[in-house]
Amino acid sequence: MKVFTQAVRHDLRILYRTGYIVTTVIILGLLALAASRLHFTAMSSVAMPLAAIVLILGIMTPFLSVSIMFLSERNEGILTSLGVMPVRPLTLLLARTLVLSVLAGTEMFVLFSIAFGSSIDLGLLIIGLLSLAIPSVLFGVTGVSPFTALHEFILPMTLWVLFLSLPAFLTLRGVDPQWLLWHPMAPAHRLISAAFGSTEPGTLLFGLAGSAIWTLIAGSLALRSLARMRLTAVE
Amino acid sequence: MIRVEDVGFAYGSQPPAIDGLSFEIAKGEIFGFLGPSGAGKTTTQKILLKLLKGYSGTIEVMGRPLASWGRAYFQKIGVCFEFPSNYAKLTALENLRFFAGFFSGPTADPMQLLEEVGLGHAANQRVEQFSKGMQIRLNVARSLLNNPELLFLDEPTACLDPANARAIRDLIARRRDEGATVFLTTHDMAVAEALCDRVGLLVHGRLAALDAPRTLRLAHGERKVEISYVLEGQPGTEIFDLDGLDTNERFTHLLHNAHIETLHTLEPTLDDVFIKLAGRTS
Repeated sequence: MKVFTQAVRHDLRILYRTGYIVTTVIILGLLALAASRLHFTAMSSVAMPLAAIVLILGIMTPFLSVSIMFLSERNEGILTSLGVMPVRPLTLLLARTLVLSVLAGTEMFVLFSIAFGSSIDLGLLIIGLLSLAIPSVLFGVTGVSPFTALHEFILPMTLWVLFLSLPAFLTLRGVDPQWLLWHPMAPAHRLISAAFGSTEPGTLLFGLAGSAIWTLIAGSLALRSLARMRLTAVE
Repeated sequence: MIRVEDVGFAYGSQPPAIDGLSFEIAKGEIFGFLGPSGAGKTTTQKILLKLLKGYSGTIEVMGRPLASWGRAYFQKIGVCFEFPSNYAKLTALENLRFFAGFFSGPTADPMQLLEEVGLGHAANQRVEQFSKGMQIRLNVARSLLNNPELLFLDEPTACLDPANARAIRDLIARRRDEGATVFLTTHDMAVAEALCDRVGLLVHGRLAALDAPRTLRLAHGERKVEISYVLEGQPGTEIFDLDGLDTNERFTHLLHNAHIETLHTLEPTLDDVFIKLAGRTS
């Protein structure tokens, strides 16, 4: 637990030193100011499209943050250094997932709770945002693992974000979301749409169970990717 | 401390990176691992650091098969990589404190370690402002955090000026005197000569030589002596066989009649041995 806490503190410090936290606070403040003037009223008829927008925005921050963090750590030789330390990769992965998921979730929560206020279910929104951010972080580790430079990763990164956002894009195009129940982000999409008033049956069960399953899958892929990144950094 | 017996490893279907590698390192020994680029030094080090699996043969470290060690292995060893590997956005002190937090046992005082490697003045400076030499010294400091029984040092004096290189060499020697075993990978023959009790020369994945630096030099040198002199106003240089030198009339004549400027045996340097063995095998 001591190592986990230290890893969490360390990641927060790195994010602070790289300017991520300050930049986020400033941008979030501006967006929140804009959101507070909009005064949306959520309606169940537009729940799925609204959830789609949250999905797209909510995937990008954690996915990009984690991939860029690991990419720079790999190139700086830090992953290799950590590989010869008495710390389990799982501990580091859990710490980073927690930090980035909570930060990304908080950003989205602040924006949407200001914009929609009491017209949405804030509890469900939190659960939905976390079920969105956690797999996004974990898929980010897998996505970046074959690459050693940011410019190599730009197109694959775009593809990953498009793929993970697929339920959102298809929903916005009017495609029936039932076609995408297999998708890793479908459970999160359903949970967020429930927060906006969607009343599809079985949403909570499907959302929670699906998110848990996809988190496990993404987590095990991320661990394997982390091991590969650690090894290939030793040259 | 380390026993490697008939170890081989190949990356996929490529030819073996190391083949039939056998050596032992005693506790408290500084073992130099030398070899040209691509000889298999990094592969061997990766295997010993448990970063590579799938090797053949037997490896024992600290009395246990290497494969049987878990994460506890890293509580007992220290590793200094050749490349800078610290958080650029953190200070030197913050880096050391972060890594020290992973060890369950007592750790050295990070500030004292920074003083030891000559970075005391830069303790609160961000690593992104460090030169490569400073970063290597920080790597060395990090490898000593847990007072390791076994140290893996990869080019610890690379990019260092002579004064700092000497300070690091002295530090390594002190650790050896305190009982640590050191596995030193280097291209710097002067470092190997000055520090190592024994060196292994790896060429094409096989050990081409394994002995004390002095023994290797003597074994691969010519038993000759070179004399530079001034005789009757004329400078000259001649080379004589060491064997039978005491009865060599010309040599005796020079000693008695010439002004001797220099006189030394022609044993090769470790560089010469390296080039001879690496060149011959390749």
